[in-house]
Amino acid sequence: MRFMHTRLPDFIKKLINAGKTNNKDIPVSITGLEQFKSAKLASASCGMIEEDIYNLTKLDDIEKVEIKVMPQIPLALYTVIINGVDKDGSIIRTYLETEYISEPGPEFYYHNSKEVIDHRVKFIQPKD
Amino acid sequence: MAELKYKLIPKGAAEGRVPVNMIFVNQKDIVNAGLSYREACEIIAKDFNGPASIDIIDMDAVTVSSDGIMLDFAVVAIASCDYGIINKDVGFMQISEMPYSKELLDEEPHMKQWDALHPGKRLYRGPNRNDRFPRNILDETETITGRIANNNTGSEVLDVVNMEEILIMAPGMFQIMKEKGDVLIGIAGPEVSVGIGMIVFETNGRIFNRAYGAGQTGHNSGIYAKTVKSDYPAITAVKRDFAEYIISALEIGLVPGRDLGCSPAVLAVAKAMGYKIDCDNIVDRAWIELNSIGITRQWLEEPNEILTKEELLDRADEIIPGMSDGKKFAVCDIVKECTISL
Repeated sequence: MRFMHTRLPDFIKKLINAGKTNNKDIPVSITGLEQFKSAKLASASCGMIEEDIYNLTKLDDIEKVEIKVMPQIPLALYTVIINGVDKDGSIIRTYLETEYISEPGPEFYYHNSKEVIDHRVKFIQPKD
Repeated sequence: MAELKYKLIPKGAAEGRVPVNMIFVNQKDIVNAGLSYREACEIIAKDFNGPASIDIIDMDAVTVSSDGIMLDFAVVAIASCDYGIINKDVGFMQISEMPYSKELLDEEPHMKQWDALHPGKRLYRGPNRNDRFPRNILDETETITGRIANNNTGSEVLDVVNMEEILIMAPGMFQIMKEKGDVLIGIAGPEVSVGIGMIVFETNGRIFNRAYGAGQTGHNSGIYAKTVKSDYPAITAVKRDFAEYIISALEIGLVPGRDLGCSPAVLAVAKAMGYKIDCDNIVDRAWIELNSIGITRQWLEEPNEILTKEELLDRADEIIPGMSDGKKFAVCDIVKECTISL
């Protein structure tokens, strides 16, 4: 079966394998996905990221690839699910709340990079 | 040669009480330099080359504090800068002018101040939907670049890496832009923490959009409201200066709890001067928060010595609660004037 979206374990595996191209074995580390136990990721984006890693491995001085995944808009609403659980594991009451999380802008992670190539989607303001 | 001026309150100012860099720019200086607000922020970001908030302020316009008191200045754009840049997606946000309309005044009773006290002045509060793009309509009113988040239309500045923060109450920002007098810098304390949540109903408010009305609580945190922001450093006007604005709103007949937010500052001034407080319109959830800092309905309704305006202004430090360990600093001692040659 073919999918338009990549399974999370496959995504991680593909990125790590992309470091093993060009007859090299460049270690690839990924942060920012630790909280996801299961997810589907856009396949086309996965392919673009694999190619970015492949292109990095072609550079002479690259010893490792460090990947950080974060929301493109780094201020986001989150749902907080608060479950009260009894001794049998049954949920007696649930509160749902909104929490806002602001995290550092992406430049915090690359501000001292010698070259930045930005392939991200562009926000285009809709006309009213 | 054209130039662009900005005011910097550097990290460490006010005997170390200020934990982050804050930059304030007079809108007129940007217009005179022939720049857009965004261009000005990008030039300042490059010049400063460090983490800072940037607030662009129009001293000929008006805005509204969270508890519904009109002030004669306005934040017209906010930004966050770091590493010499402004994040292109979320590093900058302009605030559009709020047009005058009869409907607005009918729906928002605190806006009677506009006609009565500031007729004809341009109004800016918070961002509209277009200003917020590409943020989600329900996201915080915030800009982020690198380490700095500039939140709630310039009233809270956060370093999201070392997680330091400072609150800048609107009257304090106004005082900084006036370039004279004193500001009060200290720890917000429980009264300010509760007060920030006692907001008024506003379309595109500085913090909320059509959320809670006077007599209700935006914090809605019960006994925890007094702790949500109590430990943060804060800058505000000296109490005498802020009291004048509260008195002006009370003098035109606005009623705390009904027309104005039931913040401890507004309630304390109204009680001391004998103005009506609509205790019946203050909801139970708000009473829990007020009671937790010692403001009870019984206390508000007890008879007390009625002060004149002059008496209240003289005793403002004693009457208006809030700000722990607050110390007055001359604006000229904490603000560094900077000039960029363009």
